[in-house]
Amino acid sequence: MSEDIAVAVTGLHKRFGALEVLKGVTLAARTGEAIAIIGASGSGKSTLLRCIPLLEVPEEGEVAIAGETVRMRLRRGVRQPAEPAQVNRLRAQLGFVFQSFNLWHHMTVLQNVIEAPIHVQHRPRADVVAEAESILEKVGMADKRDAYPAHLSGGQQQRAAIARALAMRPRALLFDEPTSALDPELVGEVLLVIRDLAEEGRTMLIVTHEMAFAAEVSTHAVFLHDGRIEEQGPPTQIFRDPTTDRCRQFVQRHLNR
Amino acid sequence: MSELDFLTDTMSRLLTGLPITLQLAALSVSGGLVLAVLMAVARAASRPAEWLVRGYVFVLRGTPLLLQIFMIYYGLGQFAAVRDSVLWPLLRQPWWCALLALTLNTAAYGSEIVRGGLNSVPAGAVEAALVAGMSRFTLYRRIVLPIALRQALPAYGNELVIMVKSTSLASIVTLMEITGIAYAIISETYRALEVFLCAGAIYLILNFLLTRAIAALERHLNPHLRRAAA
Ligand SMILES: Nc1ncnc2c1ncn2[C@@H]1O[C@H](COP(=O)(O)OP(=O)(O)O)[C@@H](O)[C@H]1O
Ligand SMILES: [Mg+2]
Repeated sequence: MSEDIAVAVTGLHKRFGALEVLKGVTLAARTGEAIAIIGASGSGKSTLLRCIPLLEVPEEGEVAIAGETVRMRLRRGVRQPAEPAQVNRLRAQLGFVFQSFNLWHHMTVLQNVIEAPIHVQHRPRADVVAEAESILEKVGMADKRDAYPAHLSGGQQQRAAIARALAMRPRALLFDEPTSALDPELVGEVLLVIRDLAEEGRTMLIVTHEMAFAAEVSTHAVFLHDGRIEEQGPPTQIFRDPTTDRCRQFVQRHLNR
Repeated sequence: MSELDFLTDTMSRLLTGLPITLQLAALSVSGGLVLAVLMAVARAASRPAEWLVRGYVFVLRGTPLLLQIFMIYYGLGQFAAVRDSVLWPLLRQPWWCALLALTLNTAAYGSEIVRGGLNSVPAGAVEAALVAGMSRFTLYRRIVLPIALRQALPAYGNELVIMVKSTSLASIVTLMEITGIAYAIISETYRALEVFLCAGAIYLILNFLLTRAIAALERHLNPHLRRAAA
């Protein structure tokens, strides 16, 4: 597999009990690509995204990060990563942004941002802090570096969470509905930050219901339906002229909101 | 001897037991906390460990501490293996027996308190640590335990207060801590009321200081829960 592929999943199948959520999904993000992932609620978008850092372990299929395939094994009939150390190493090359921010509430914004670079990547503290400060500047959170998450708005918390992801110097950024938990008036400030990242040419996979935003920032779009990729293509196709009825209906319903 | 002289004399004699009381309390509580964390974490990590810890908690929490002290002080010596072991020079001393019983006892309660703290750690905080590539050890050291112990602190504070009072049971195996000295003074003077009042006052002051210290620690560790922005 090429080094140029930042993230790739091949033939993913994921079940929760009797419910098969992913039914064979194959997707690759080349370095510099921004892939928008859209689809109805329950279609498996989050599950797909969570399979990449192995927060969910697929029963079938492969995950590769920066060209390195995660090695798997069967233990008492359950598939799991063969080497936790490999998974940890590969996870540290990704940045994951959750719908509900998931900041560490006992730490300040700055402490959240420098935590993993120092304690996972073992980079020198002074360098990490300096870099964290410039990242916080970039996401407009420099003045909140010493604030605790509980004292911030949702939009500020999500921008801090994005800064935390960026501080890992990730090969790819994964966003799972980054604005869905926000009050409507706070959505814009977060989208603005993500748009800047897209303009920098960052590799991103973005699950979102913000169609206009997705159409604008993505280089490639994927429509997920019932655990399968129903349609994919350039954003001009997916958001303006989809070939499948389902995708057309879905996009229209969401564009007109 | 005037009443006041008697009280000050009693107080100063009782206070000579303070170091033993403080040692027993501080050492049992620190050792107990380490055991409690180990048990709570082990319990969450593996099935067999869970059953072992549950059994341990069941027995230690369900029987009187006084009996546990008796069992260790009088009971252990019945086993030849214990008498022949390298620990026997320690286990024949009342101080070590009382410390052992107090530690094992508070560890049982503590593991339940820490378990409650562990359960309160938000799944999202753990997932954020996992996607950042943290190993299990780093995850626990940097994220899970700091959150869990903050959460457990108020309940743990209660346990500390109880432990300070529980040290008085050590008097039953001849230890001259505060309560043991109180017995001795009463058997000389037959003035039970005054002596026990003095002893009670010492425990009261100790626990007053302790609860204030715990409250200060709570405030210090939880700036994120304060109202005003930092
Ligand atoms: N941990 C889980 N256990 C059981 N079912 C789950 C779990 N996570 C997701 N599901 C189910 O899988 C389906 C797809 O979920 P998800 O990937 O979150 O969809 P989406 O993000 O597209 O809304 C849903 O029916 C959901 O209820
Ligand atoms: Mg979702």
